[in-house]
Amino acid sequence: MDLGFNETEEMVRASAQEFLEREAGPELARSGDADAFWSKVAEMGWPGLAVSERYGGADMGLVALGVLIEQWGANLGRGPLFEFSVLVSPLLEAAADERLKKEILPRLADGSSSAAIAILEQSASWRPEDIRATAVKTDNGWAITGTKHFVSYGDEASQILVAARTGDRPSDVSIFVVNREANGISSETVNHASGTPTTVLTFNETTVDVFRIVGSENEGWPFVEALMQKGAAFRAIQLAGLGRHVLDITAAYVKERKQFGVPIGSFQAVQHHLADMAVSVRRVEQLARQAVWSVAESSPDAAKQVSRAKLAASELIPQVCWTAHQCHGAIGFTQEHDLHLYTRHALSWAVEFGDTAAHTDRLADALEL
Amino acid sequence: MRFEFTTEDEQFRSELRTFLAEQLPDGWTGPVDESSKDGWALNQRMRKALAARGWLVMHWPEQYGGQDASSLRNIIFAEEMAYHRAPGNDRFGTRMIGPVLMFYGTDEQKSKYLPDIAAGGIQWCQGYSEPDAGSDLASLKTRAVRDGDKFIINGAKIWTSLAHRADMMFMLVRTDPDAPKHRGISMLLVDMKTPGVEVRPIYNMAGSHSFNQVTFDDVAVPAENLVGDLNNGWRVGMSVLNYERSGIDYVAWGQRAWDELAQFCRDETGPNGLPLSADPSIRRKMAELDVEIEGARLLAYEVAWSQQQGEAPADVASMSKLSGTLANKSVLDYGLQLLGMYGVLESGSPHAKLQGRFFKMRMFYTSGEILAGTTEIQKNLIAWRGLELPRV
Repeated sequence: MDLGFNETEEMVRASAQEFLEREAGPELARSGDADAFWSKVAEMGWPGLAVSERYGGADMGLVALGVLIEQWGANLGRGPLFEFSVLVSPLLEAAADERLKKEILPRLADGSSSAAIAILEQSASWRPEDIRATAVKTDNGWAITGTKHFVSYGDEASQILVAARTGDRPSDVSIFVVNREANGISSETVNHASGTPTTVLTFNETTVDVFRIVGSENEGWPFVEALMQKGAAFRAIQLAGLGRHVLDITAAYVKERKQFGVPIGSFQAVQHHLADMAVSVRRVEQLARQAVWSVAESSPDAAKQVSRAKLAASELIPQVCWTAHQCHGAIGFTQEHDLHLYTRHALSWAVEFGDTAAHTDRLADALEL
Repeated sequence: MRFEFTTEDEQFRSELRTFLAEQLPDGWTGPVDESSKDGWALNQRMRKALAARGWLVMHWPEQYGGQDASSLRNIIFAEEMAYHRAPGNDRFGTRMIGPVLMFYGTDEQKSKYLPDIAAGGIQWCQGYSEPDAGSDLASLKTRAVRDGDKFIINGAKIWTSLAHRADMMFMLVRTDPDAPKHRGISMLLVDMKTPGVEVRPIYNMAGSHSFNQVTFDDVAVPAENLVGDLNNGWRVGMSVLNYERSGIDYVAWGQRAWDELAQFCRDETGPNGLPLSADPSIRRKMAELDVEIEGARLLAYEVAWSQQQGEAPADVASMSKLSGTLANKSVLDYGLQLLGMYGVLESGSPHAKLQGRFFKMRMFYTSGEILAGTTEIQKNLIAWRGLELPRV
């Protein structure tokens, strides 16, 4: 048992904190130059942090990536870091055709291009039977038809990971990596509460080369499961980072803000709000780090730990934000104040990669109920 | 970071489980009623057996008969003992006054008391709270006045667990009534058989005799029973509380109750003919409780891990105590809901489900959020020490 950071983890944490506090934060989230920021992120080597060296990455592993994502959450980092590093790259490394890996991984790892995932449909469900988009075999590959919702960075990305139905059984789903420039892709922009560029992508007989299927035909669902699990664990750690930051700014505020001639942080009612926030944040931090560690180690308990972490993070961190609003009073209710930016992200992350109902069900299964 | 124990630690856990299976009575479900003769006999037998295995004080330094066991090894011990509701884990001696004597005690005190504690041959009790000094412990009034080579004690202690079983008490007394309240306190060791010590039982709302009122009427205590410096008792006395505030016992009790409840849900059939565990609302609540327990467990592990790094994170200890007691309470509350009309049939009644244990435990663990610093005091400490919010 070691609840501290090792040397590598501490190095990643410190450099991420230093960089992101300077370059990211509320200003970037509001109106910053996202492209310029992303170039700097690429210079830091972060897109390739957990990618193997042979594909141009730093091969530092998923736990180090988790440490980075915790800071990314604390400082509202922008850009498709999560999409590629957490979701797409481990999947491609594990199962994609060598030709595909060589073609796209190095450019993704150095940040010169980016990736998005297009799995969910109108149902917003993570069950295989709810994948309705189809991929049909053609002479030289596949043709994908269907509509994908909630695609983050769907217009900015150069590669899109798509789940499509290739057979009649519920789990007959396959995974494809589609070039964003391919034929038949149209997009519709939706306004996401977090400010993340989000689109609905429609594929109309979009042509996909045969080597762009990931793994075998009809055997893509386990990859989606693994991707969702990683997504949930890393969203939990991202929420932990966000929660810690919201706690910090709220503690600073109540020490400074005076009413009745004293800082409001000297009132017990306010102190107990802050203490509750501190306990929630600490619990989520530990649960989320445990979840990321379990995923990185392929622990037999990973399913349990991930659902626990995601459930705790999704319930407690939005609560931490609401309590922070209460402690800030009227100023925290304004658009001008930064607090709502964190709340918007917390509410968005809380429902991604499995909402409370989905993870409750998974956890109950894992607990043999 | 690494979220697993070492192979050696896990091996210790399994040896301890085997030991408990051998030593506890067949079909033991606990918890022990230490007010009963049989219950106390079991406590004493288990304590001796633990001492014989070298586990009773394994967290002590070797020079005092321990094994220098790590804080993490130690928390595994506490977790398994609590999970199995096994009596014999001597908190007051091995976890509180023992370590205090090692740090503050004189050589005579160490050689007089430590071997007996290590052998499981002495019972201690803790004389802190008074009728008018609860959360504001530092306002305690029990007086000790120096008279030659003795202190003469007058006053009353209350909520004293196991005073009726104890050979000795470590107590906080006021030795300088004129000093600021934290600076006029000292710690004394008192033989419970000294003339003038009177122990009166207080029955708790769960129906058992677990604690007492202890009165002191001109009780003469040898001056060499002073622990640490005169008037430094607040510091000496508070050094035991970080142990008291690790929440692992509550986490383990909560986990055991959760496991029993889960098995109950698998075994019992609901009105629709399906097991209760197939009911989505029950699955949901049980999953929520599991998350609460796991979160509290990690905080307790964090306390132990930090101690191992040589740190004493008072705010995390408070978080752990608060989270552990709440998690345990949440499981018991839900258990009573699930058991419904049968949950309030008391232990020993025909038809009582789970032997009436959930009701009894829910009544008993009402104390969890009160003793050793109430939940509200823990929140104050988190705000002051962890977040450095201003005290007024």
